[in-house]
Amino acid sequence: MNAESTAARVENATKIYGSGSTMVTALDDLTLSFERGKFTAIMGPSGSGKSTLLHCIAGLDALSSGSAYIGRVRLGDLNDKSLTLLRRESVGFIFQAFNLIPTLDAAENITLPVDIAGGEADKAWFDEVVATMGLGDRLSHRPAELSGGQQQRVAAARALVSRPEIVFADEPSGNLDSKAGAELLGFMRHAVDEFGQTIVMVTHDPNAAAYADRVVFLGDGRYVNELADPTATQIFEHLKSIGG
Amino acid sequence: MIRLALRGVLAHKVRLTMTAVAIVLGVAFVSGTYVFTDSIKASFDTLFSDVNAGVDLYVRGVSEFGNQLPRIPESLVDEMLATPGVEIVAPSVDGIAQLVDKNGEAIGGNGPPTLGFSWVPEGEGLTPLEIRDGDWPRHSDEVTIDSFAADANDLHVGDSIDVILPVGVERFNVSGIATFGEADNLLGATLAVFSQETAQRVFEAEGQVSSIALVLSAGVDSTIVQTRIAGSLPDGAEVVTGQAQTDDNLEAVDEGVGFINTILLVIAGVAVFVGAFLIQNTFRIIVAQRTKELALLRAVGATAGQVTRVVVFEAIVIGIVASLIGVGVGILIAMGLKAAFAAFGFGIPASALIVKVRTIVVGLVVGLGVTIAASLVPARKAAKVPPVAALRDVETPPRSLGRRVAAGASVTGLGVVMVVVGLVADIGNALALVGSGALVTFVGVSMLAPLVAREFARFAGIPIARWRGVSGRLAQGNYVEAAAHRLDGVGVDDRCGTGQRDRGVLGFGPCRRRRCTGAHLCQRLSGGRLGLQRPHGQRSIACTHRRTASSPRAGDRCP
Repeated sequence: MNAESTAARVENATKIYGSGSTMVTALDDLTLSFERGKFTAIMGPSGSGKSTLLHCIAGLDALSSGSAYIGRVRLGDLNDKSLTLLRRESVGFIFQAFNLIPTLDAAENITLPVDIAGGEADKAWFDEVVATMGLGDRLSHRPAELSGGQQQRVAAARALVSRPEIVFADEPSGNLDSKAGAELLGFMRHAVDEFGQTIVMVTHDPNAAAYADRVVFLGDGRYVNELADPTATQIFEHLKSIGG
Repeated sequence: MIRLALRGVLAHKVRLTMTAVAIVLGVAFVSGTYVFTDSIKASFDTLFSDVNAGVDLYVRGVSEFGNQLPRIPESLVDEMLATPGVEIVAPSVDGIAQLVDKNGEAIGGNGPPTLGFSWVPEGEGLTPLEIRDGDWPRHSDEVTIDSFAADANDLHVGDSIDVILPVGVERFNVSGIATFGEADNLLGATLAVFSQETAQRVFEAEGQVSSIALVLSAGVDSTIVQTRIAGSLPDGAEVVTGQAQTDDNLEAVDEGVGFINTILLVIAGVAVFVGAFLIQNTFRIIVAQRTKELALLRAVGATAGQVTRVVVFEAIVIGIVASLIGVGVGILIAMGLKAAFAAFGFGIPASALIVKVRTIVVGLVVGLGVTIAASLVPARKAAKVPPVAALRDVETPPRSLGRRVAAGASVTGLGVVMVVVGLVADIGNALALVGSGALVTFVGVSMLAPLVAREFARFAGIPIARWRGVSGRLAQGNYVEAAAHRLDGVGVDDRCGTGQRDRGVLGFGPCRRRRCTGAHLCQRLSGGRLGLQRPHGQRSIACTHRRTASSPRAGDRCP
């Protein structure tokens, strides 16, 4: 895999929380790449470091040692301001909860990153993303007036609207029922297929991971192995086999 | 981002309204003070200008060392009459004269002066006084008094009244009742007007007058006449223009109004000071509540500066609204003050309320400045929210209170020393020192508040800990930490909404209240047991639970 086809990667990434007797090694010398235009899922048992990996590669948290790259940019070389600008321009986020600003309506939440940058949303692209996410008639609603599934779709639309290099999703369907979750993941899959969007998603749900092109398994902060284009059953069986 | 700030203001409008009241009051006192005193000055300005408009020149004594003007020889009256170009010569004799009511009690005199004047027929129209009832004192046994003293003490034309004078107590008949322009008296001063001969006798001014008002013939150049008179005046006398006399009169009024100004501005200062604290506290709470929201903003690309500006912009909106309302309320306060002063016998000549541009500007600057200044620290704190807080429950490490305690204790100590020194030591500005010492003490004590709250919470939690065992002790611990941190403004409140993953075994349920008030204890019954909120500073409730009750279900997020 050459640099052009890599949207993000970590090299020898180590992340240590705390010190002394409370020291926890969340990432242990991990090296991993994420291919451009692909939907990658990261799985692993609790404490395997999958969320930590997401935070560090997305520029939300700093590695203790090693390097994280988005495109060709090494995150460790950036100061807080440059890192913020990188997140604004190159990264989209979908979190498990609290994705939206409660005082802004759906449309304003979607254009938030563009507004923060002081720019104008590309109207045609905005309409396309909104249509893809099935939000056309919900744009003037506040988050409190939307269902959980709709809220997550708004978050997904926000992540896509600035055409980021890469979208990171942390258990995006974790708080949704299976129908709303399937809907959201279907939209995300659609964004990868139609728009060539790169998505990296952390999940513990085999059904969610089955939407991905590639599922990477972590354990104790290390790479374990991966499956290409698996079904939910394959993932489930694989998790059992590696003791997750 | 501006839209975000505006929405933020709307979302917290109840809490912000309560805070804004303090700013409104502070600004209202400041602007009310200015409106009130400006109006007083303006009305006196009008009054004196009207009176002195007819007077071209004044002959009066020359002030020595700022004392009261000395009197001048009565012979100057004839000299003035003989001066070419002078049409009317109206001498005046004044002194101190205190009226006595029907029960033998002196009227007034506690603060405002008790003034005595002379009246001469030539002075008609050249005095600020106007006859309301009866007539001017034309005989030696007559006195004209001000209408407030008359009305307040049931005195009428024809009554006899004792007057305390430099020559002793004498009895006069009330010949008339006068007003000061349209006011009943002059800022609470009582007035006693006598004929000139009487005034000279009772004020021990035989052969003397206090001043002489001159009206010149039409077409005469007053500068030439003034120069001519100045050349012939003896030492100790001078001739000034009517305008100069007006200015001197106004200066005296300003001094009288000055004390009102000072008192009101002190009240305003206290209100603004308290308002600043309330505003700062409110913003701290709002920032703490919005940790997740601010972190989300940071995550999606808002710089620390932008987050700071959102909070400060909210303060600006509140500051402007509160200040404008404050100026409006200030005008109402000025109207109320005017009515109150009139009711208590401090007569003020009628005039419209004067709202100068300066008043509005000062009100806005004070209100806006205080609000912005108070929001700066919370705004900087908002900018420090790490973006990763949007993804997970980032625990702010329990901050050592050591530095805060040291700083708070020092500031409190300084304040106490200032108060004590001010009270004990014999120095010039003792009062100012005590006052500022009290303020410093206030600041210091508020810095120590988290410590006090923590100890109080520990003490108050003892019965619960006894009563409820493990869950009770956890509650106590929660309360202790939360109390300390809440006052410290570190993100506490938002944790109430974020405990979903921490379903413990003992019936610890996540608190779903958006806003936890007060102790953050979030008591709720869950499976018949005391439900607890995640303790601050611990990884999760499950961890706590594992530590305290050896649960088989250790939390997945425990280190």
